[in-house]
Amino acid sequence: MELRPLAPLAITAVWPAASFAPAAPRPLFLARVRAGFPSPADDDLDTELSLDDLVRGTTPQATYFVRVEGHSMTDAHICDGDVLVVDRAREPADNDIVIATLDGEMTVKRLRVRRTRGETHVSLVPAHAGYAPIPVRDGQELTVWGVVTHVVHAVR
Amino acid sequence: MSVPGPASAPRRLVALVDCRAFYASCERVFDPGLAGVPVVVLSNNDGCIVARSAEAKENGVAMGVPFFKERERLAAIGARVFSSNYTLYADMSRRVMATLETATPDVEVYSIDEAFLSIPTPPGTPADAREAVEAWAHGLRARVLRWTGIPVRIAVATTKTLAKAASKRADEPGRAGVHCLWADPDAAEFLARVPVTDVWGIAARSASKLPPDAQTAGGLAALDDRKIRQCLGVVGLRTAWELRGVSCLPFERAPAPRHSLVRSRSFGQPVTRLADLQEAVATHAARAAEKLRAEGLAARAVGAFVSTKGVGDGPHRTGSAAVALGFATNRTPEILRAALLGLGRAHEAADRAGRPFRYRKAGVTLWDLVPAAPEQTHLFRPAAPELDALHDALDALNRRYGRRTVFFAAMGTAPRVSADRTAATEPAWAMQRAYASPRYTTRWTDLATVAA
Repeated sequence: MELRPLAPLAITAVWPAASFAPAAPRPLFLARVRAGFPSPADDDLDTELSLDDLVRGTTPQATYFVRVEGHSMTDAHICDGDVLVVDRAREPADNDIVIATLDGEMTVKRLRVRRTRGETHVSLVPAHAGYAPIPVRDGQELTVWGVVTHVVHAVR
Repeated sequence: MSVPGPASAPRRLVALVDCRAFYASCERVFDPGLAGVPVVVLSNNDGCIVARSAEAKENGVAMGVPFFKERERLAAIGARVFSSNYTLYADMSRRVMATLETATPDVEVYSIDEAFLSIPTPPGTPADAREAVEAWAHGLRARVLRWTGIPVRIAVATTKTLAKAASKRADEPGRAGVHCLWADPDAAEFLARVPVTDVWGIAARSASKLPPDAQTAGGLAALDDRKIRQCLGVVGLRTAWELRGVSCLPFERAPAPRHSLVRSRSFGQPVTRLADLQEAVATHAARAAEKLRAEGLAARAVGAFVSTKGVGDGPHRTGSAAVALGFATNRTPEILRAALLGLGRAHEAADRAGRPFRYRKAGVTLWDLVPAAPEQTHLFRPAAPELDALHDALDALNRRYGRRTVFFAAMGTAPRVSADRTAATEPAWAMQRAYASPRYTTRWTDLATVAA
C-alpha cells in the first residue's frame, strides 16, 4: 500500500456495507400468488428492496437525517415536517440545496454563489414567492453543514 | 542519549487520532448555537463534569469535579450544560471511526474517542516522508471534521507510546492539530521535556521509583535496561523500548477477548423496594446476556451487586453475591435466574437498627467467559436448540424495532414507551438526565430541525 495525501474533501472511498441505521427494508409484492399455481417468476425473485439503497450514497458515515420546519422551500418540494437526507461528504456547489448555519441556526435553502468583478457573493435563496433571498454580508459567518440529497415526504 | 531510535526508516508508522472534547463536540454538531459557547457534559445522574469544551477549560472549569461545585461558575460564564447522551456519542464515534477507515484499513479503536492507525512509511528521504505524512494527516483531519463535525488531532510516530506523547505537540500553536514526531529534528529535545508521569502507562507512583535523571521521557529511554526493570518491571521496560522507537505494543485490529462483563448504572434516586432492584438487575442481566450472544461468548458464573455508595445519609452497605452455574451459558432465562438468585443473597432491606438501606446502584457481573461454541454438554442441562432459536428471534426483534420490543417479565412490565412510540416514561430506578440533548442520529422523534 502506498500512502497518498488525501484530497481533503474528495470522495475516493470504496465503502464496505457499513450499517445505515435505522434500516427500513420494505418487501415489494409484485403479484398475488394463487395456491396451486406456481408463479413463473419465482426463479427470478430478488431480495427485498431497501429504501436505504436509494439514499445511501457512497458515504453512509457522513449521511444524516434532519427534519424541516417551515414553508420557505415548498416550491423545491421540501415541505414542513419532511425528513431530509443530508450528505456532509459532498462538496457544496452553486445551486445545491444545502443545510446552512447562519447566526447559530440551521436553515435549508438553495445556495447561490455569484462571482462579479473578482468578488464572490453568496446568498441563501428560498423556494417560495413569500420569502426573500438572504444575502450573506461581510462579518456574517455562513457554514454549509451539508448538502441535501433526498427528501422524504409523506403524501397523506 | 539513545533517543531517537533506529536510524533506518521504519516500514510502518503509528498515527494516534483523538477527538477534542469529544462529548462536548458531539453536542455541538447538531446545535450550531453552541459554537464559541462554553459547553460541559455531566457523568451519569448528572454527577460530575466529564467533558469540557476549550472555552469551558479556558474559563477554569475543572474536570471530574461535582457539578454542584461548579454550578455558579458555569452560570457566570454562560456555559451550556448537558447530561451525557451516550447514544449520540456512540453513534458519532462509529462515524468518526468509519471515516478513519477510508484512509487506511488498519484502524484499532482504542476508546470511544481515540484510535490508532497503522500506515506505511512514505518513500523518499525522512524529511520528505515526514512532510508527506503531515500532509496526509491534515487531509484526514479535514475529512473527519467535514464528514462528522468532530475536530480531531493526529500525532504520528514509530510506536504507540511515542504517538501518545506527540499528541500534546499537535496542540502547539501553528501545528493545526497535526504532528509527526518521527524524523522530527526536535524529537529528542521534546522528549527530554516531557515529564515521565505524562508518558502513557507510567503512573505517578512508579515514577517516584525512578532516579532523578529518568524523570523525563527522554531520561527514561536513556536509562539502563536493568535499572528500568528493577524500578518498573517488564511493563516499564516495554514502555522505555517504545520510547526508543522499538514497537512493543502490537497493533490490534480486534479487541482482546474479554474475561468478564459488567453492567451497572446508578439510580436517578435512591431505591428501597426489592421489586425495583429486581427489575433493574433483571434488565442489566438481559442486556448482558444479549451482549454475550453478540460477542459469541458464554458465562460460567453470574454475580449481582447492590450499593448505597454515593451521597445521602442513612446506613451504608455494599452487597454482592456470585452464583456458579456449573455450565457455560448465554441464554437469558438462565442468566436472569442466576442474577436474581444472587440479588436475593446480596440484598438486605435494613440494618440491625431497622433503618432501611437506600440503594444508589445495582448491577450484574458475568464471570469466567468462554467462547460459546463448541458447547460443552452437561449432564443436568439438556440441549435446547429451541431456546437458541428463541434468542435469535428475540435479538433480531429488539435490534430491528428497538430495545424492549420483546422482553422478559422480570425486567418490569409497566409500559415504557407510548403506543405511537413518541414518548417514554422511565422506571423509578432510571438515571437522572435533567439536561439531556436529543438522540439526533438514532431516533426519528429526535432529529435536528432545520428552518425552511
